[in-house]
Parts: sequence; C-alpha cells; structure tokens
Amino acid sequence: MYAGRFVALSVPDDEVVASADTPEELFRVLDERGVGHVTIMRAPRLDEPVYVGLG
Amino acid sequence: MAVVGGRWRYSYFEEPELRRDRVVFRPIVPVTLGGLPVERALDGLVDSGSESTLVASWVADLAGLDLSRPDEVLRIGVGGTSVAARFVEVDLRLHRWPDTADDDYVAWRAEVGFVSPWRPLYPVLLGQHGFFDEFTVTCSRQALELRIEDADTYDLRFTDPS
Repeated sequence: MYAGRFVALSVPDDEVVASADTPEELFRVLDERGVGHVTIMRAPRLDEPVYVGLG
Repeated sequence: MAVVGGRWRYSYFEEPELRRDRVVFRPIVPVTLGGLPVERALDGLVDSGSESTLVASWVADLAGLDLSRPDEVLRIGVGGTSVAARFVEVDLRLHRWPDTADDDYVAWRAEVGFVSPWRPLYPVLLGQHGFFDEFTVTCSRQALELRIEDADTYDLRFTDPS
C-alpha cells in the first residue's frame, strides 16, 4: 500500500499517518492537516534490496 | 561538542517487511536540520560504517539550505558506482522523542554531504564525522536499543585505572 512512497510515521507507535509520492507533497499534506510529531522516511518497494551501506 | 546531559534511549525501528523470514531492525534516531520544523523529524540511520554524515538532497530544499556553493564536492562510492556529495556545514538537532516534548533536543553544527540520487529508505545517515564524533553511541542488538550519551562518557567508562 505504501511501497515506494514517502511516509510520515507517528511517534512513538510508528503508524503511517500520511503518505505521498514525493517528500515535498508529504510536507504539504502534513501542513494542510496540521500534523506534527512524526518522523519521515521512504517505505521500501516490494522488490527493493536490503540496504547495507552508502558511504 | 553536543551535550545530551544523560543517557537518551531509543528503541530499534522495526522495518515492515520480513527479510529471509526475519524482522529487520534498524538503529534509528529522530533528527532535524536547518530550517526543518522540530515537530517533523527525519529518520536518521545511525551508521558506524559511514565516514561521513550524509543526507538526501531533497532535504535541502525543505530545510531552506542553499547547495549552490558547497564547501566541497566529493564523489563517493555506492554499490559499484559513485554519486556526488555536496558538503556544506549545517545545524543538526537530535530529538529525544518519544519520551519528551518536541523542543527537547540537542543541537550541533557539522559538515554533511547532500547526495543525489539518494537510495536509502532513511533520509539521513549519521556517520563517524558529524555524529559519532559528537556523542558516545552504544547499540545493542540483544536489547534492540540505542543509547546516546555525552562524548566524554566513553573516557569515563573505559579509562584504565592503572
């Protein structure tokens, strides 16, 4: 349902409270709803390999 | 030096998808930087294997940061290829959530690299420079917890009495 989308997770229960295709759109949705106290990440695509490191 | 004044505890984040029939747990802490609102934190992956603190370039726009004149541009290796990282000095904040209010955080200034394209799920990778050099970081896979303490805690804990 959220695969590949940017999601805002509630704190502390990590439930998805909003999602969008881009971070800019996600922040706009959060602004419109007046949602705070969330953390932002991207949900993995179903075929996405496990992340092991970047730099 | 960033001072947390105690021992801040964070539970590991449980990724929603199973991998090889087991849960993937990540040491994640809530961080903001630049002009980002403190009530909307980014998930920061505590990554001891990363020399630098790296951030998705899309964060810069939302945080009101100008990347047009970086201090340095480096190419860093990623999975057999390389991407450009634009390093600039920014204000970082580590939040104490979920135990306390939005404005309970510690701030420090560090040089971080903004990367595009950005592949990781988490928009911030907190590496040796810019994070581990600011705090004492203790991870326990057994406890599924992460503790952040002041930098000098390490010396107090491990000083040889002889």
